[in-house]
Amino acid sequence: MASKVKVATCSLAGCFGCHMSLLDIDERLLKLLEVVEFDRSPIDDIKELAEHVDVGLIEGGVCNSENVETLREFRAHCKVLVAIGECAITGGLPSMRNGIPLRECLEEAFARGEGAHKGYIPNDTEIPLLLDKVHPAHEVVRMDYSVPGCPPSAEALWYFLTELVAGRDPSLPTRLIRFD
Amino acid sequence: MAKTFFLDGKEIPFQDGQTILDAAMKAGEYVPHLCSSPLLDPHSSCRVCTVLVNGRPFSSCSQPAVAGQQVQSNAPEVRQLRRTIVQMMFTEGNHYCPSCEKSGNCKLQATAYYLGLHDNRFNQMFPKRGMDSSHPDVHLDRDRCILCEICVRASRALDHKGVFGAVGRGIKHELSVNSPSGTLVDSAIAPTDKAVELCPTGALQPKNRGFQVPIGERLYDREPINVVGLRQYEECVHGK
Amino acid sequence: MPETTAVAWAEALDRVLARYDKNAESVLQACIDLQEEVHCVPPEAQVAIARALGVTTLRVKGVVSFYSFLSDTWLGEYVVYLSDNITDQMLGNRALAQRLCGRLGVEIGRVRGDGRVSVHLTSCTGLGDQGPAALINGQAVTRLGPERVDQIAQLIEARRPLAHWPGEFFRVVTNIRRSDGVFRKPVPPGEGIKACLGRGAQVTMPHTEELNPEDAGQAPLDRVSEEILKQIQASGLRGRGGAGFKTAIKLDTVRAQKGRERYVLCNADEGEPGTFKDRVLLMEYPDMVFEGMTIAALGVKATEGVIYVRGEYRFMKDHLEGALARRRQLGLLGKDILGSGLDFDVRIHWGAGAYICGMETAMCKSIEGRRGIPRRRWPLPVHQGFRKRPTLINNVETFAALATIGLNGGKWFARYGTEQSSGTKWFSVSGDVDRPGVYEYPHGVSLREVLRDSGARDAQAVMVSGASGTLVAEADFDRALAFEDLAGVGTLMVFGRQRDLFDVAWNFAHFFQHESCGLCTPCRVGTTLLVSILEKFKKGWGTQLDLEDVKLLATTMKLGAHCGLGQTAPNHLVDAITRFPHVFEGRMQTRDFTPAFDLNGALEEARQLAGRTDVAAFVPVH
Repeated sequence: MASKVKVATCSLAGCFGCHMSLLDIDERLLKLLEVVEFDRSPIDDIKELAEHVDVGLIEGGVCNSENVETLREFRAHCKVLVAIGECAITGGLPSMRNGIPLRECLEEAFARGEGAHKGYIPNDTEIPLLLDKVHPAHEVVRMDYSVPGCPPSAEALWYFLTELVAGRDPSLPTRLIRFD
Repeated sequence: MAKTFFLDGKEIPFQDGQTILDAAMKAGEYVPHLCSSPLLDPHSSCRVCTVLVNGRPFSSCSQPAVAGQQVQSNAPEVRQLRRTIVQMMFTEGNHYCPSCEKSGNCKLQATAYYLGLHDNRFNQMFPKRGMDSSHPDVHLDRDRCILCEICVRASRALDHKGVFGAVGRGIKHELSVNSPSGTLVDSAIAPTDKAVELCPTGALQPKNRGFQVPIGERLYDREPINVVGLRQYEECVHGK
Repeated sequence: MPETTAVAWAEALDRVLARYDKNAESVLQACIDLQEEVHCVPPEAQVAIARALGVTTLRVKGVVSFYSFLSDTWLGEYVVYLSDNITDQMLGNRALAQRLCGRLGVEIGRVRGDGRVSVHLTSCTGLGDQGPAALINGQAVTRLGPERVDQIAQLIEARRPLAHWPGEFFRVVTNIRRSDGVFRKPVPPGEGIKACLGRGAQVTMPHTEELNPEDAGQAPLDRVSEEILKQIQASGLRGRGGAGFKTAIKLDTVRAQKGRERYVLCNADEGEPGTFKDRVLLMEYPDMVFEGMTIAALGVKATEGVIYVRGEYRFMKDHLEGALARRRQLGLLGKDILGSGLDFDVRIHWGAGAYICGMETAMCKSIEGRRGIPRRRWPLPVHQGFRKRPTLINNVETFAALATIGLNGGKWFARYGTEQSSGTKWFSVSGDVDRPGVYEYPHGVSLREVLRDSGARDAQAVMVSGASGTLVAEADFDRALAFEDLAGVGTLMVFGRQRDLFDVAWNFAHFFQHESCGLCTPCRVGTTLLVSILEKFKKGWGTQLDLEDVKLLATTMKLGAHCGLGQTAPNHLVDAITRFPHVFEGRMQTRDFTPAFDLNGALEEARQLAGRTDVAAFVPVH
């Protein structure tokens, strides 16, 4: 039996919409699973990356130290990394906070804002620290491909994955390219 | 006998004084462009319409056609140039397509699709040029502006109002408003102005009209910009 | 700004506006005058200027925001601009800047709390042979050193007027190290014009054996114009501003245009870093420059002449206006010059700190009182230039050479230099040389010879023709300085073996970013992207991928930029990568990729807000 292509996924500073869109391939998921095996992913709840992963799908931009570490882990273990969706490719909507000083964001959320309770910025060592700006994935590690969209349609994801797995150029045709 | 030049080997007729872009579009050959409009004098700032004329680069919107010229719009270096320029535009601004009211009707976005762009290549600059939402009917988001100055030219030449102008130099080049407050509210702008209608991005838009057309039914959802562009050009020229 | 100053600017504004008619073209000059008097052009003044000159306020705001020396906020009583070319940096200008700011208790770019002073860095001010240089309230100050800086700080603290400062501070020398060619014998005022008129007369009176100067005035202007063109054609003169275009073709084209209105513009913007030969020509031979303009005016039958002088040379205002006044008195400018039938006069139009205004069409826009945005390439200025009329635009040195051709004829001129590059060239030499200054050589001289004559100290590289030129290594030192080989404006910046050439790249990349006019995407964005890539190398975090990005940007800017600034801005980087790869290799990581930004630096603010220093508050720097 030919070994399957090992695919891992994660959502960094993403809304999981891209993962939902992936699942929107519906019953084609079964066809996919004939050639692909999912490794670490929110879909299957495997928590650790295998030593060698073929494809890493990255949803979401990089907003905090944990995102950095996760993304680096994926880069170290995955042969090919793909930025899925606007957030991973450009920073996306989370990066709309980049024009606002970090202090103001945190004070609004935890000190002054609606429902703020304790009135101080949390400082527990378990909590990842925020970067001063949200960044696209390719500004932190080398990325190999991008699949744009918010989210990319199931069609686009299906096209991309099947072409990539077959060893062909997975660039999307114009009709499947969307930034929203 | 009409004069002709060659565009990627195809013979294109033209009249004296016509630009390469104009002649090409009239002949049904789409050349991508963002800062030009048949209603306005050429500006040659976006540089997306660059072609090679006898091997040398020129912006086709401002270069007069000359008989016998060999013009290349489809050469690999030209296509790569256009991709990089549009990537630069996406990098320079804050183009949040998912939440922008212009999405699906946006020339910048549609041009990126046409060029097959998947990403922006460069590092995002995340500028803070600022919004102007002072006016009840018109919204200006400078971080979506590609500095094509269509609004500047249209407001002057077509609306006869002169609402917009450029200030700053280099990367600090941005739009400014001609009004006592420097904002739109006390300017002469109206949502029906040509300046607002012709903006190729979501920078300058009328308010209260966003998201009325569902995704899938918007202008560039139905047809790509090369088809729409030729049709609009035709309509524009005949409406003139 | 203090109350007293607010009153002062209103009075100054009245004075300034009294000088100008209601003419949109005067916008820039009015702003420069006001800035000179009160060190700002505040928004209220912009409204008043707009009203007085018949333009929109936005138009005035656009101009004030475009030029480096204009400011809508007050810059203080003393405004100091430190020249920040690479040659200034090599002479330690940054340490001097720190010293001055330290003594004055001021940060670069910010006006001191009491409004006394502001200190800024600015692009090359054209004094590279006597730097480190500065402009203080518009006056050029040369040869800054620790002592001079301390004295300046004291004078500013004591509020001494500049007129009472030691004159030595403001001494600008010409440093003409070698002048052994076409300029060996300067043209006496009017002699060039007379010779041209004489040639014209000879044509109309072919049987005259002796040329009677009094008869010169009888020659119809057409004949004179034709003869001038012939001499310039015979001379082979090519533009001395860098482009090297055949002057005869320009002149002929302007001459052949319809309509009576045509202009002769002299480009004295000289913004190319390391260039100062035009400053020297204007200091030493202003008459020859105006003589050349007048001969050109006779050639094209121009009605008006304008010399566009960069704001950094404002200290020459009296000197230049004096030269023009003298020529008018001698009948060499004004009505019916020397009986030729030509009415022609020259006025000065000042720049205000914008390198792009050295580009022909941008210069025309600037003289029209606008932002210096280059026009689209077609039509050319010779067809539609200043005021959309046929315009002959040439460099200072070109006009000076024209004066010599006027007097001595074209064939004489063509005896110098090479087949394709006739005549001599003025070279501005600075950097690691014992004798910086200007050198006149016939075209075709080898770079090595100039380096030897100027006392180059162990040169590892030479930047030929300024920041937009080419960076050459020792292997190229035997090449010829001529249009067919090492072409350009004749600027040579020499870098000794001890220099880190990365500093050169860093300086020029910032220069182009600062000077980009902002019109076109490839240059506006490209120049900024190039700086951000170099920032990675500065920190030692560059990668091979970053160099690939530099090459991509270079290709994009060369093909896509609207004008020569964007097209040539990446050249020095491409040259450095190709010819001096060690410059970048030493600052590179062996990995193929490094992040675009400092990850731990990006966490610093959050760390401080949370008050955390534990290990998990940092990411590994690998």
